[in-house]
Amino acid sequence: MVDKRRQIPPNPSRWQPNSDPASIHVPGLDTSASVLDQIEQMEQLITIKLQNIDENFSKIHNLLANKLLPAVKRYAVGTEPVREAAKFWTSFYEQAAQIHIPTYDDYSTVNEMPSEREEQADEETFHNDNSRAQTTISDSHRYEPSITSTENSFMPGQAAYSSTPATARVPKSFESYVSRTSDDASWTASMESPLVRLDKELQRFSTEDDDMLESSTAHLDPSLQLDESRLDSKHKDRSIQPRSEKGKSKDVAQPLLRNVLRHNLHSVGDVPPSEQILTNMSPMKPRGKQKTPIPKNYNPYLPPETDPANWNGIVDLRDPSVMTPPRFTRTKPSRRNPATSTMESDDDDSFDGLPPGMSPPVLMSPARPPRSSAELGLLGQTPTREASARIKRDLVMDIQYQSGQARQMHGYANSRVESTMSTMPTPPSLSRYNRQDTTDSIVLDTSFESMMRRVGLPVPSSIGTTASTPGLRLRSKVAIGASHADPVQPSEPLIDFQEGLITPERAQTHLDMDSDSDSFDEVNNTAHPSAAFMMASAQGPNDSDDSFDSSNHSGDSLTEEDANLGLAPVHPFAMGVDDDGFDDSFDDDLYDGNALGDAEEETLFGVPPNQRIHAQARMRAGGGNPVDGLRMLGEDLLQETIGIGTQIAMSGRVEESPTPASGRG
Amino acid sequence: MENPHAERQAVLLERILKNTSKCTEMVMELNHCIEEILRANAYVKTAADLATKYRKNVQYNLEATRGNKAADGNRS
Repeated sequence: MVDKRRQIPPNPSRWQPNSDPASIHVPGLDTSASVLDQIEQMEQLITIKLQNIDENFSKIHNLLANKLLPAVKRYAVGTEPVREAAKFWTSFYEQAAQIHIPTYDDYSTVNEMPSEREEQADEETFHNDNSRAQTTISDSHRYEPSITSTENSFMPGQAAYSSTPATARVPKSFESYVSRTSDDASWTASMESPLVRLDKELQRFSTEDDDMLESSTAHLDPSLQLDESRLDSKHKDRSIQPRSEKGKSKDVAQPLLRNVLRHNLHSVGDVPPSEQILTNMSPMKPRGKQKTPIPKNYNPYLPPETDPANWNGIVDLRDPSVMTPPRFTRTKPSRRNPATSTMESDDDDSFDGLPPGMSPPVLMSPARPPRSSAELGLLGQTPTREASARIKRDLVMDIQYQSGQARQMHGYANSRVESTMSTMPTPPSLSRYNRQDTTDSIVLDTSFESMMRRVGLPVPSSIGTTASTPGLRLRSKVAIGASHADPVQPSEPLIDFQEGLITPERAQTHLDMDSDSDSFDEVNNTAHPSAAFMMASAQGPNDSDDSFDSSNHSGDSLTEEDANLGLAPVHPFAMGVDDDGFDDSFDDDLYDGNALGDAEEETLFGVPPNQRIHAQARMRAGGGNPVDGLRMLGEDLLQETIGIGTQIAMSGRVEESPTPASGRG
Repeated sequence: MENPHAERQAVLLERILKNTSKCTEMVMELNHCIEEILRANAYVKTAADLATKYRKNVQYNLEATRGNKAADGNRS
């Protein structure tokens, strides 16, 4: 293509000041003329020059106004489609993250881009383990969809709790939460006075009962599904008890997440990027994430001594430090094995009743392997296994439902029966634990609901033990058969009553969440309970009671800790943290010693148990002792020894999380 | 005595001044427009970055898994 534009004439040589006036040469000046003439001439020349300048300027203005500006505007219009497409893709990635959050594989997706934030946070915390303050600052701004909150929720009593991402999340998401879902109990509940809560609860109870009646009377097993849907719609209409909807929490969560993301994006966009990055930019994940211009300085993925500009953006997911083990672990287990969590929650109620042979740690162990495996799952394994696991779960669920149904028949009237047994799917391996525990739990039920139930109707011990799941009844009320699950539920009533005040609301919330999405139970549990938990913790970080309570609420993910909870109320958090953190080595021991068999069964994906065990052994042999774990905290070591990191990941150990350290020290 | 040239030049200078200010205005507007476009295109950038990083990560991890598998195969 030929360039038709005129060539730009080269600039005339610059005028050089000259010390000797006589030597000044003025082009176009007739030196032979008289001085006056020469002066006159010079004046004219100057005028001409000025005219030229003026002309040039007007030309510039013309060009700008008539050509450049329209062109730019046209460009803006022209890029519209591109922008739209980009929007789609951006939202696609966002959505991908969201959708996947509930699912097991989601992690891989999450990890890719969106999770970057999370990973960032984790990494940061991890790296800065020693210097907590820094971490705190950076973390506080991050928005962690589901995971963070869970984490924070674990450490209510800690002074540093504010630093945890979870707390950070609260303020951020809080607004949207409140505004959007006034019903979200976890948040509002914590804020309102106990009396108000109680009132609400009562209202809810009445409504629930109504629902129960209808559903239970009108429909039996086969109609469960229908009831469910009907109930859901009903509940939705009800402003009072928004929580019980099945889909509601889901809906809420999504918009919320999206909202936050978008909001962040927006805010970033509004401010000139460069300034913003330098000044305001906090590691706030969403921002960084969304805006990609992420302040490179804060980029957690960035290897320590790398120039941000040179970062290639590749993150090794296998590297534990990158993986943000704590978060993932936490979330994963809960979401991954609803069954496990359920079982554990059951344990909470029936904790006292644990068979002599069974120590709480043992209970924990079954959960562990899946966790690790889930982590491993990041690398993308065996959808088939996952599927099989799901099928298993469904089967168990169905059975439980049926039994639950039978129960329902007996007494739906009993408003809330605490169900130690949640309908949550329990993997067969775990289920046996459940049964034992359940029996105990029935006996142990101290909660108000349990009392009611007893008064209303004698509980058949056999039923109670196996399928009973008072929880089922509960569910029936809230949303019949809506979902499997409220793993959390069981433990809550108990604790709440004990505390005296309670937070039925919170419990309710959990229920709802659980009930909301069958498939997503795990996710909801993780995410929301944590949020609730966070609030709880926020309320009274120092209050041991609160922390205890909250731990129970967050329960699903915590279940393991809950088991321990009975022993030391406050400690559970530390324990939870520890799981993620360097304490892992201990866990591993437990795991090895007690629950190996179960673990093997449990493994849905990831490295085969045997292999993992080998890896563990290897690790231990190679200095996998606690001390090493401590050392692992140092990022350098991790970075340097990626192999070790991988091995650790393989062995199902979780990398150290900042939380344990704080909790401990 | 009045210098006609000076007068003329003064007028010219004024004009120039006016023109330059206009030009400045124009440039400012242009800048604004471009800024807006950039902001609007942030999505594009985000999407592009996401896609790029996603791809990179996928590739990297694919390779990593491949390596793992190979290692596992050797081990077993």
